[in-house]
Amino acid sequence: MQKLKVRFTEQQLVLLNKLLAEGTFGKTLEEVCLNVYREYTRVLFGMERE
Amino acid sequence: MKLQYGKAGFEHVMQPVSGKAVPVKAGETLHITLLEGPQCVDFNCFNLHDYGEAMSVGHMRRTGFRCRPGSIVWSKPPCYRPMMVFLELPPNCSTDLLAARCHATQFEKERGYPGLHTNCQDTFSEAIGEYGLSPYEVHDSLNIWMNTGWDDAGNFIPNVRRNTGRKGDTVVLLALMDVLAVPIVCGSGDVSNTSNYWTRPVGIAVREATDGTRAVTKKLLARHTGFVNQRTPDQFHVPPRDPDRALRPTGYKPQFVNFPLKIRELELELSEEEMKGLDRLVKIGQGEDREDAFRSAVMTWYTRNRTRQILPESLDIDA
Repeated sequence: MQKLKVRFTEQQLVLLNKLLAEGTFGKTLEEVCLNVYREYTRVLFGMERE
Repeated sequence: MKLQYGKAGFEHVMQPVSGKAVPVKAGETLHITLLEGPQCVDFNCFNLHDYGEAMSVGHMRRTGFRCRPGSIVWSKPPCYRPMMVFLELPPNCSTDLLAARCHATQFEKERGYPGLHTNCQDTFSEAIGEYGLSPYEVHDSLNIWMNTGWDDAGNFIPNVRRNTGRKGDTVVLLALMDVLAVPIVCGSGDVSNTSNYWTRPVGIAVREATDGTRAVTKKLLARHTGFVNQRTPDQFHVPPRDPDRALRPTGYKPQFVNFPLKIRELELELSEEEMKGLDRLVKIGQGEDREDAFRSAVMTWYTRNRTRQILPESLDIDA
């Protein structure tokens, strides 16, 4: 595993906290962001053939 | 055209999310520079001696939805006079004459933002407040470094395209009359592609007139003024309500929304495969670096899946 530091504005976190409240993406903001990133790349790259 | 510019008489850094109203006299140049990277800059412009004569984005649109070097900033009819001209516009700087300025209700209604989000209407209002103008006087903006798109049916492409601005890009506007120029850092940057889901500082400078800029001013005024129908208020059948329309500082201190913008850093752990995903995003232009690509991916997903954005309006209601 590798570490990545990512800055967000408080305004962005207000919106991402809504995902946290939904409860399906994770129990912390870090988990939410990672799972949303995974979902985004799964859809974007998932259909490609290597 | 490469002109010699005068020395800077005024320099200022507009931090996110703020703006600045600054007088630019005829022959002087306004320089707007991206200090860190892509950032949409919204722009308003008023005749310094009569705020009733302001820029008309609608009339500028008659020569296209984007500006180019040589494009004129026109004032609204019945004056319809050249206020400024674009002298320099980097090829990667898309300008936009379509998108209306963002405002607080838009973020509440379309993005579900539960509170007051930074927005161009309020930033313009605070900036022009220094010269005694109210929020009512904010007008449609000319958007600089805004990569708007539209389809052949005239539909606005949701969430615009990624901003193609680069650190160091400078746009130069020459004043053809005395104006109050109002560039601002766009307030929608962190929740849309307008500024690639981030917001960055922008430098502005007003440089003194030179022989070269005076000569260009004189030639363009000869070309674009002198028409009998370019009217002034003394020709109006009904005079403006406010007899004193000259702009001067009032001492008002702008109170920009959520300023300074608070930033929080999250530390994340990604697998090697997930890191490679970030590198792929950078390669296809979806991020400047890994951090930018990650933030853009997360916020793009949120925008597509959790916001209404712009929906066509309809009468699908029971009367």
